[in-house]
Amino acid sequence: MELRIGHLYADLMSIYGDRGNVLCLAQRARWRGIACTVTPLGLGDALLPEAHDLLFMGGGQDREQRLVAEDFQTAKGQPLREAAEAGVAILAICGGYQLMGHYYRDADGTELPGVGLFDAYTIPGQGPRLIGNVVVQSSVPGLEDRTLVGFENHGGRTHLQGDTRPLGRVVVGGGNNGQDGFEGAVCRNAFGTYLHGSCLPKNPWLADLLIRRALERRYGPVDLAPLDDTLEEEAHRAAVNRARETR
Amino acid sequence: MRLLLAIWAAKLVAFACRALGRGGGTSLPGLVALRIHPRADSCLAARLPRGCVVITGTNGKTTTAKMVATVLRTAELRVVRNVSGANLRRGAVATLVGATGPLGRLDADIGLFELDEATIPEMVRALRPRIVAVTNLFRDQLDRYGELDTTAKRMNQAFRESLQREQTLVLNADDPLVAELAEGSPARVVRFGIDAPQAAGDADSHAADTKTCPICGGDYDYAARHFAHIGHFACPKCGHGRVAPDVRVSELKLCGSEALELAVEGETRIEVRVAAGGIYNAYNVAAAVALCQALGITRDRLVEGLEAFRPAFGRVESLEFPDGKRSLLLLAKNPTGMNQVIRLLRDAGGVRHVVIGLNDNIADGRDVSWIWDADFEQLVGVPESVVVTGIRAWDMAVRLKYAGFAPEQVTVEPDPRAALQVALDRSAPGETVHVVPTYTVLLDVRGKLEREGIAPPFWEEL
Ligand SMILES: [Zn+2]
Repeated sequence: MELRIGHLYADLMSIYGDRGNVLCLAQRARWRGIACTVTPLGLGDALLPEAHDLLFMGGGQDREQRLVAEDFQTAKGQPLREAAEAGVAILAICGGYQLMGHYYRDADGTELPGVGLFDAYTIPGQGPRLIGNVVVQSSVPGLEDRTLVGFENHGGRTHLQGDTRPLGRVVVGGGNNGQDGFEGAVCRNAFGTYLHGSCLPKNPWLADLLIRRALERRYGPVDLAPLDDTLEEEAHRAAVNRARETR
Repeated sequence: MRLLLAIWAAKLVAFACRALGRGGGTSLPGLVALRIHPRADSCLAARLPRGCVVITGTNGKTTTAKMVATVLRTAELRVVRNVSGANLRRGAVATLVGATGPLGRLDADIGLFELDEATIPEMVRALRPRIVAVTNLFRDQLDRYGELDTTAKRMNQAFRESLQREQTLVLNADDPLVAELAEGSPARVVRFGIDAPQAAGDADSHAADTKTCPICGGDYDYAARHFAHIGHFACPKCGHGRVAPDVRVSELKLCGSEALELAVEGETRIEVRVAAGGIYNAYNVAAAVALCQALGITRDRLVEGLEAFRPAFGRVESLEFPDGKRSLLLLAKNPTGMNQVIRLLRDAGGVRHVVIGLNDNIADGRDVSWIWDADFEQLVGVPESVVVTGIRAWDMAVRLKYAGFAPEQVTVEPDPRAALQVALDRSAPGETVHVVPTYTVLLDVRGKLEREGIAPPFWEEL
């Protein structure tokens, strides 16, 4: 088996250690004997919807988000929607997540059009940035008994509508908008979240769910061999405790 | 009168802090003074016969400040200088009060302040410094200040609006974000940089913050990349690029993890050996030379002072243990700093046991995500073992696991002093344990070593 990861805007959209998610996915595949390739997809590069099993996009500052939003309009938006439609697994973090909704209006009032994978929009918040450790009770099918932990740092407030479900319910922290108690978004195999941390290394169950869904599109039902996640689980626990102490 | 009152009140608070054993009382006295006299720092700074100098930037301010302080003292100037932990306004005020006598006489010739990037707009107005030097701008503790571009924008605005012709900006020519800071400012600009081919390093691009041209959004090309986004940058689309520096390191030799030999060309050419390893310290030397020249220090004093320099506490600080073992403290608090330490450990040779400490207190930055931007992959195969420690030790253990360390190479010991002991016990007499802590892990382990009589108290460093 082979896991083909496309890393969207690896150079531009990589803030707060988001590339750790790609390192995590690649290692967890390789440790199971699954070959893994990571292809960077930069500004102007063509995106072929069938060429990737999993697409990842991290966060960035407003300046980078503007460049990416333009590239979505001119190059990658349509193939990205086709990939999502075809069931390619997608994970977008923070600034990437914001651009996966219908639009992102930044603090200056500039409105950036998004890809529309999620029935969601992001607008500037009234209050201060939402910054700090976050604990989420997952509502992702198959992960209902799990928590997800990470660090959020965003000014924008994301609101979900229609069929788009949240990743889970906030136990500690702000989440999508600091008001409705939701964090992240899920639509088919596309996932969006504000969790940095990096997110996946401390939430290995989410990493494995993404790997499995990514592979199943091409290979049918997949059973991933279990890995020794002692360190990951300890890091998860420590981060949860720290969230309760610091917020 | 009000100023005197502020001074007395602050001195009383400082005395109480010491009496209660709460360290040197580096900030609280400043808060008290400002409460009584909101312009206490402006008034006190104005009494310094040689004015004051401000150093800011993400990395290197403490080392640069210490280099400059050593040179100024060599030139027989009395320097008042804040400690590295007290780099907000209240810390600067507390420092000035500490140097003031009970009748308001300031016992110093010149002030030297290392200040947090975020305080610069406020402090440029308050202190009216002769010189403002900016070492570099990296992603660091963004969770406190918002985004890097915003910080740079606010600094540039302050330089445009609050500086005058007779003030000087000393800027890193090789950092695209810093190079832009002088735009529109009436101040005199002196740039420093490195032109030595030995500085070109691994392109640890994961830690780079600015790769796109601020003018047209194009990607920079680098004729030479020294580390992260620092180097000889140019935008192929619009032509915006590095300006040739006024003070340049033209020759550079790395001597292990603890020294550099370099030639610096500014108003004159100097050749020095400085007790600080790594490329990033070559930039600190260049910044210090540019600053001292702007202050009119003579060539001989400059060389003498730089050679007399010893690293600030925790920045490549060597400590001896009774059993003939040694530990080297190497502060690393962000991806760029960590990558520099990793490069230094690779180059040092014979590194067997390393301690890496990660805390997430406010002074470290609450967000530990940055460890995923540092290239720990480059550390695989260098030490035999790593002991990870601190509040977020498990995060660091996971980071090393995904970087490719074998499980048996990594030990988790959350208490920093105990972690150091684990590594020391594994070492042979004469060997060195490299300790790589974030800021509050450093304070923790160093505090314990002070009580054991192994490390000197850090306020004696001044
Ligand atoms: Zn350009």
